[in-house]
Formats: sequence, structure tokens, C-alpha cells
Amino acid sequence: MRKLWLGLMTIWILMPLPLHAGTVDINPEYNALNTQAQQSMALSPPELKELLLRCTNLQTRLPELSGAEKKIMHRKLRRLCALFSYVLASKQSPPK
Amino acid sequence: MSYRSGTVVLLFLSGLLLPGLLFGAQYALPELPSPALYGNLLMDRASSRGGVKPVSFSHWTHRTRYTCRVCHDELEFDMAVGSTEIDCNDVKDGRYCGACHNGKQAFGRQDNCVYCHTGDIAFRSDQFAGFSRELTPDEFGNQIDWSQMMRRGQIEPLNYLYAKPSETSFEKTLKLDAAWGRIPPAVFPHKEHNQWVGCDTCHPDLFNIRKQGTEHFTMARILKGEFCGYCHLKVAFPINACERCHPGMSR
Ligand code: HEC
Ligand code: HEC
Ligand code: HEC
Ligand code: HEC
Ligand code: HEC
Ligand code: HEC
Repeated sequence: MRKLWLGLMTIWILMPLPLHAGTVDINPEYNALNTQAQQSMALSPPELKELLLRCTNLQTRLPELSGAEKKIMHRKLRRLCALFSYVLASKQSPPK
Repeated sequence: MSYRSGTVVLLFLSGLLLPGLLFGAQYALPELPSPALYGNLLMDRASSRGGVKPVSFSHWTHRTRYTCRVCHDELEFDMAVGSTEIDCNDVKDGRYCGACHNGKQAFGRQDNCVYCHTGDIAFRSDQFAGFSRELTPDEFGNQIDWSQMMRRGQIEPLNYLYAKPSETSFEKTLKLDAAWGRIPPAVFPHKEHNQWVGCDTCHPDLFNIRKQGTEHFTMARILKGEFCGYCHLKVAFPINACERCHPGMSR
């Protein structure tokens, strides 16, 4: 009995931190948005608007994180949202 | 020859020569380090203060294996030496250098302090000669034509660590006209850049055609590290290679 209990405690301690805290992992959405930048010119304005929305939504979840991870995602998402709106703007009114 | 036609010839000649002369007089090109040291850095935002020697990092070693996008887009290193806030726990926890220097892709942090904290910007530069011998030569910078090497498949750097980016869909080459009439325009090929650099490194922070037209890309500002000078002074081929950007210019 005691051994089982110790085993369970060890597993709990070794679990990655976000699971302790009970937060839902932000990484999949973060990575999914990251992969879209290179093809942004091939997307339509409605698709770009959708991406921009997802990007700003994810930004509002950053307070759930802390430390270097938060800092890195904050910087990256700021640039990513800015790129999507830049490409959207140039599709809506292309430079001369 | 009459007085008048002589003046015309003189005027004609100075018209051809003047832009070049003015350029030479106005702008001093920065002195280049030796090819082995071009793109080498010594990072010391925190090291000396923390009682260890500064960290040496060489772009040529790393860019044969990874594109700029990996480090400057995915891992979020700043493109300015000594400005990314990194402490060594980040490295231990798999961030920044530690994303690769984890004992698997590359030597790990434990027991290897001195491989990074060398305090020597020329660390392992003795290996450069052997490394560059088989590569496509160029005149300036590392004296390696990195674009050509990419085209020939002599190097195949990885473009991501965590999530594979979608296919790049923008290959437009732009002709950037000079503010001065006689200067051959500069060219900007998206295709050659996209294979190294992520779109959001450049847009909209560095290049935003809506905010400033391209006529603001003067050489004076480029030489201060703005626009093209962000990369083409320190890591990508340097400004000395006029004809690579102004194909119509000959020396
Ligand atoms: C393996 C990671 C890695 C790769 C790949 C990489 N860099 Fe860097 N780069 C760095 C680091 C680390 C710094 C220093 C950051 C700091 O000190 O805050 C840096 C700094 C720079 C700087 C500033 C240099 C200075 O003297 O201030 C420029 C410009 C730069 N990189 C451009 C590039 C370009 C262009 C490429 C692709 C050809 C590239 N880098 C590829 C890691 C990398
Ligand atoms: C994207 C992956 C990646 C990142 C990020 C990275 N490195 Fe490396 N680095 C490598 C690989 C791969 C090697 C070659 C294999 C080895 O030496 O173990 C290497 C080699 C080195 C070497 C040996 C140099 C040589 O000439 O052989 C040093 C020193 C080094 N890295 C320092 C750093 C420092 C400092 C950072 C962070 C500022 C960093 N690296 C970031 C992948 C990376
Ligand atoms: C893969 C490269 C790498 C290795 C190996 C490495 N470091 Fe670091 N270390 C860094 C980088 C990058 C920084 C931040 C550099 C700067 O800007 O000063 C740093 C900063 C530091 C600092 C100052 C900031 C802080 O965290 O207090 C200390 C102290 C330090 N390292 C100690 C060590 C020790 C001890 C070891 C060996 C167990 C080690 N480092 C191995 C890359 C490395
Ligand atoms: C990395 C690319 C790049 C390199 C290398 C480069 N230029 Fe330029 N240059 C530009 C861009 C971009 C402009 C702005 C658009 C234009 O004028 O064509 C420019 C503009 C100019 C102008 C117009 C006036 C001014 O000051 O803006 C002159 C003159 C000029 N370059 C001369 C040179 C000479 C001489 C060299 C070599 C020593 C050189 N350039 C190397 C990109 C480059
Ligand atoms: C190395 C820097 C760099 C990278 C990387 C880059 N661009 Fe550009 N881009 C430029 C420059 C320079 C211009 C011309 C000047 C300007 O627009 O300010 C330009 C112009 C543009 C324009 C407006 C001009 C037009 O004719 O449509 C769009 C849209 C654009 N880029 C999209 C992208 C996309 C999408 C990517 C990624 C696939 C990308 N760029 C990657 C530097 C870059
Ligand atoms: C974010 C970094 C970055 C910026 C900003 C940038 N470049 Fe580049 N450029 C590169 C890299 C990396 C290469 C690959 C060659 C090398 O590293 O020497 C390259 C290559 C080139 C080439 C050679 C293409 C070939 O086929 O050989 C030209 C021309 C060029 N750049 C022009 C420009 C001009 C003009 C600007 C400004 C309008 C500019 N670049 C801005 C990073 C950059």
C-alpha cells in the first residue's frame, strides 16, 4: 500500500508543470498559428481575418503563463498578429 | 576643341562620376572582420556579472544546419547581440540555446560550461579554413556565397524545430528605385530570403510599405543598421558587395 502511494506521488511530481496547474495547453494553437505565416499571401481576406482573431484570442490567454515562456510567446504573437494584419491590409488595398 | 564643348564633356563626365564620388565621400563602410569571424558574437548581457566568461556564438557553424527562422522566429533570439534576456536556467530548461544544446542534437549544458562560456570571439575559428574550402566562394563577409550553396543543395539547413511551416507562397522580386536618378535600382528577391528568414522577421517591423515608401531606404540609414542593414552588415553578405543588390552597378 505504502509503495503504491509513493509510486503515485512520484508520477505526480514528475508530471509536467502545466498539468499540475490544470491549465489547458496553449502550445497546439500557438504552433498551429506559427505554421501559417509563410503561406499568408496565399490566404483569402476572410481566412486572414479568422487567423487574426485566433491570434488575438491567444494573446488574451498569455496571463495563464509565466516566466520566459510567457515572454517568448508574447513577443512571437505580437509579431504574428501584426504580420496577418499587414498581409490582410495589402490584399485589401495593394500598393500601387 | 572649343571652350564650350569641353565644358559639356566635363559636365558629362562629372555627371557619371559624381554619384560614386559623393557616395564614397559621404559614407564610410564599416571595417570587415576576417571571414572566419564574420557573424561571430560575444554575448555578455549577464555572463560577466554572473561570474562566468562571456558566451561565444558563431553564425557560420549554426547556419549550415539551421535557417535564421529557427532561432530568430521560433526560439525568439533578438537580432542584436546582448539584447535577449537569457539566464542559464533557460538553457537548462530547453529554451534558447538549450532547445538544441540538450545533450541530444548538440552538447548539453551540464559539464560543458567552457564550450559556451569561452570569452573568446574567435573560438574554433581555426576550423573555418577547412570548412570553407569545399564551399562556393564569394568576395565579402564569410566569403561564402550562402545563397548559391542553398541553390546547389550544398547545405540543407532545417527550417523548424517544433512545428513544420506551411509551404511559402510569395516569390515576388521587387525593384527598389533610387531617389537619385543615375543610381541603378536595388533588387529585393523574396524567394531567396524566404528560404532563410520568416515573413514576420521583416513585416511589418522592418518593412512596412504603408508607413514609409521605399524612397526612405537611403544608404545612410542602411549603414546605420536599418532596413537591409539589419542583416547585411553583420551576418548576411555585407554592404561592400554593391552589385549583388544593385545588379546594374559595376566597379
Ligand atoms: C542557432 C541559432 C541562430 C541561427 C540559426 C541564426 N542566428 Fe542570428 N543570432 C543568434 C544569436 C544567439 C544572436 C545574439 C542574440 C543576443 O545576444 O541577444 C544572434 C544575433 C544576430 C544578429 C545581430 C548581430 C549583432 O552583431 O548585433 C543578426 C543581424 C542576426 N543574428 C542575423 C541572422 C541571420 C540573417 C541568420 C540566418 C542567415 C541568423 N541570424 C541565424 C542565433 C542564431
Ligand atoms: C537550433 C539548434 C541550436 C541552437 C539554438 C544553438 N545551437 Fe550551438 N550548435 C548546434 C549544433 C547542432 C552544433 C554542432 C554539434 C555539436 O557541436 O554538438 C552546435 C555547436 C555549437 C558550438 C561548437 C562550435 C563549433 O564551432 O563547433 C558552440 C560553442 C555553440 N554551438 C554555442 C551555442 C550557443 C552559445 C547558443 C545560444 C546562444 C547555441 N549554440 C544555440 C545547435 C544549436
Ligand atoms: C549551450 C551554451 C551554454 C552552456 C553550455 C552554458 N551556458 Fe551559461 N549561459 C549561456 C547563455 C547564452 C547565457 C546568457 C549570455 C549573456 O548574455 O551573458 C548564459 C549565462 C550564464 C550565467 C549568467 C546569467 C545567470 O544565469 O546567472 C551564468 C552564471 C552561467 N551562464 C553559468 C553557466 C554554467 C555554470 C554552465 C555549466 C554548467 C553554463 N553556464 C553552461 C549559454 C550556455
Ligand atoms: C543589401 C543590399 C544593398 C547593398 C549591398 C548596397 N545597396 Fe545601395 N541601396 C540599397 C537600397 C535598398 C537602396 C534604396 C533604393 C535604391 O536607391 O535603389 C540603395 C540606394 C543606394 C543609393 C542611392 C542614394 C542613397 O544614398 O540612398 C546609392 C548611391 C547606393 N545605394 C550605392 C551603393 C553602393 C556604392 C554600394 C556598395 C558599396 C551599395 N549601394 C550596396 C541596397 C543596397
Ligand atoms: C528579409 C526581409 C523580408 C522577408 C523575409 C519578407 N519580405 Fe516581404 N518585403 C520585403 C521588402 C524589402 C519589401 C518591399 C518594401 C516594402 O514593402 O516596404 C517587401 C514587400 C512585401 C509586400 C508588399 C509589396 C507587394 O508588391 O505586394 C508584401 C505583401 C510582402 N512583402 C509579403 C511578404 C510575405 C508574405 C513574406 C513571407 C512569405 C515576406 N514578405 C517575406 C522584405 C521581406
Ligand atoms: C532579416 C535579414 C535580412 C534583411 C533585412 C535583408 N536581407 Fe537580403 N539576405 C539575407 C540573407 C540571410 C541572405 C542569404 C545570403 C547571405 O546570407 O549572404 C540574403 C541575400 C540577399 C541577396 C542575394 C540573393 C542571391 O540570389 O544571391 C540580395 C540581392 C539581397 N539579400 C538583397 C537585400 C535587400 C535589397 C534588402 C533590403 C531591402 C535585404 N536584402 C534585406 C537576409 C536579409
